[in-house]
Amino acid sequence: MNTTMLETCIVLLLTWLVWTYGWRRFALDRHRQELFSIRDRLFDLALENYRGFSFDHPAYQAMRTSINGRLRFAHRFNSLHLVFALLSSFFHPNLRGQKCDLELKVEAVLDPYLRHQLEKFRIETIFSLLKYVAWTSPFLMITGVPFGCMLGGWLYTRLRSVATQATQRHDSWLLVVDAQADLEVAAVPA
Amino acid sequence: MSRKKGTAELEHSTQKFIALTDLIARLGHTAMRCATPCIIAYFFYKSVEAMSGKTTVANLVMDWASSIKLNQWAAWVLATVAGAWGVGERRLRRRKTAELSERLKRFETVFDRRRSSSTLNPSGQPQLEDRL
Repeated sequence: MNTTMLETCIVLLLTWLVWTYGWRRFALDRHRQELFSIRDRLFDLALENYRGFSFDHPAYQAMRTSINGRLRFAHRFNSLHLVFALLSSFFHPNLRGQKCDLELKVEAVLDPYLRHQLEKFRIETIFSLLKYVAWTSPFLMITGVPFGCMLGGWLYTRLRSVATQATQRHDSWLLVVDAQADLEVAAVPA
Repeated sequence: MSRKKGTAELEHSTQKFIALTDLIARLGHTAMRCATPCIIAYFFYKSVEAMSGKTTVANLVMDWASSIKLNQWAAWVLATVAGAWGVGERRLRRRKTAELSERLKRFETVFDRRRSSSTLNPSGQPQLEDRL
């Protein structure tokens, strides 16, 4: 009986060790990797210098600062932060209905394609954070798996259609640019 | 003037509120994280206390080792090997990340001289002052 009790204690301790030092760290590293990937894509977008969107653009600066902050303090974030953030966004008088600096700067971007890309990056960082919280909270993992599967399926289809539309728009834009370049070449006297 | 002061005060109170919720969330998380091994240690102590004077550590280990079957041994060995493999993979990944991040930083600085950083160390881990 007592041997069983001891064995149970050892197994529980090992489970705790694997959870804290194995699984949680893995989930954190994965979350950071996703953020790094988004930051790299943002960098590539600025490198293209599409319609004046350069490294000095306010939206680029705000997005990069936001991602850097998330990368830096990702290990501190937990499910309680999420609960507090949700509650304060609904009930705190100063935070209710308020838009953050990044959101305002993205909305101020005039070009629709660019605005759409930046909005996509912003949403991806939020989803990555939500996924991290869901993977590292035992309570959310147990209660949220069935609900999360359904929601995940719906979001996946939705995001996929958004991404397809964005790609098509980008492709058509490239076609227009190519056609313009061809016309310019044709206009040059031999 | 008064309007500006009002906005500043509003921002200050919001920042104080956010700092407070952050503190509560972190304290709650730390409490849960520390309470779990303490509870396990307490039950471990109680089960050892119940056996004091009745059996020895050597007997206990022998009893446990002889009671588990071959498939259970296999499970323990497999779990240990998988754990060691996971730790090895993580070390390898961090070493590779440290190598690649330096190259990426050099490449990005060529195009963006004012490139901002997340202040993580080259292997992708937070600095000591941010860990607390």
